[in-house]
Amino acid sequence: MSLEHDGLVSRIQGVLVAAIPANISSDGLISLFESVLQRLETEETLAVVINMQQLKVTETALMQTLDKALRMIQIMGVPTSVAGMQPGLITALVHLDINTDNLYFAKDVQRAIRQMQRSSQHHA
Amino acid sequence: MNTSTQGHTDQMLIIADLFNKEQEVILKLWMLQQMKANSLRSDLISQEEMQQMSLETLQGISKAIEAGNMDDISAPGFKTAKANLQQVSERYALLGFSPSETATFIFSLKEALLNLLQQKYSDNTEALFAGIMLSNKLVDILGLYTFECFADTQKAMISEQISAMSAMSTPVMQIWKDVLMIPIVGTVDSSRSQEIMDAMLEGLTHTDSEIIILDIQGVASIDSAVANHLLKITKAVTMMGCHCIVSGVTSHVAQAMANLGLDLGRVNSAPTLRKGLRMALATLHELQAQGNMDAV
Repeated sequence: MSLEHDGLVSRIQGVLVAAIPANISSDGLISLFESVLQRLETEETLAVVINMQQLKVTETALMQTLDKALRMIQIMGVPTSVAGMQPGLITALVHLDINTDNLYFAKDVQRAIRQMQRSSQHHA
Repeated sequence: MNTSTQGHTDQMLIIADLFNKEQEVILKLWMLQQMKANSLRSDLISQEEMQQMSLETLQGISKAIEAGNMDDISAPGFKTAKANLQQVSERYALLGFSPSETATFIFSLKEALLNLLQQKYSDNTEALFAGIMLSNKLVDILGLYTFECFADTQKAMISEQISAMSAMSTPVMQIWKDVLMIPIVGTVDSSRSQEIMDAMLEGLTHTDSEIIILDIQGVASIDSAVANHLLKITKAVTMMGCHCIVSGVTSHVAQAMANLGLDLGRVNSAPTLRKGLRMALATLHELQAQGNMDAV
């Protein structure tokens, strides 16, 4: 498995994995996703995996930013999987009624990567 | 000392004298009043227990009178009397006495005191009147306190029952390795759906399971609100990276939903729990083949 670290964003087997830190702010989240979007523009990427295992903050503003950021990746046409979401976070997102139609979900990053690889093979 | 204060002290002396010297008589008369009350529930409480509670209450009231305050129940002198009345209220509430039956316990003391005052002050109208006034006031204050304690106990009991019922209404069971099941019975409103969602997510996290079967066979009726709640629950499970199967989708439910223009979207559904379990096992084999889990 080849790893290329760029702060919180790494590249694993053609999949861009962005890890969201536990207590990230809205600004921090925007900055992290800007970095992901820039890399999608310049690098050939199979899919994006957002690792939310550590994220504990469930503030509405942050959730709305997250929703917007996920939509941006989808607009760029890159399949996205969200991994490791905790129950509190899920409840907050469900109540915000975010659109999850084009998103994939997985229990952890490894599964999310496998899921994205299967999905890309399926669409190839 | 002004006339009003003097009058109040005289009234207090009459009642203090009564409780000091005639406690046994008061108890006897009070018991008689309680025994002949329509609200007597000999099926719930024995005469001995009632007598013991009445005696302790009288002792508590005597202490409050000795402390020299009969108006202010928040005064330290009322501590014992309040504690005794609280015990009585809790006991009556737990035994299933009604509010009026509980109120009768303390208000029947009024009649007992009136009888005794009439016996003692038949030749002194002024003292009789003063005694009746103050004893009525005292019993009213204690009666209100008793009723408050009774209501508080009932509130606490209801709250406990609600939480017990809530736990029973969302039982998450592990029915197979990596497969959980939650049967839903009754109505699903927004607060119940939140409880179901929390129980499901917690169950999946604790057991690290892959699949949860939501059996809705016992759901009273499905309308757009219920269907929306169910969709939110299944969405939450999906967001966790797990699989949700809705079983017990009967023909009646399917017809009702179709008539309402509703569907379960991309949710896996099955008409029976048996079929739901089969779907779960097939999904487990699929996950195993994908290398996402150990052998089933």
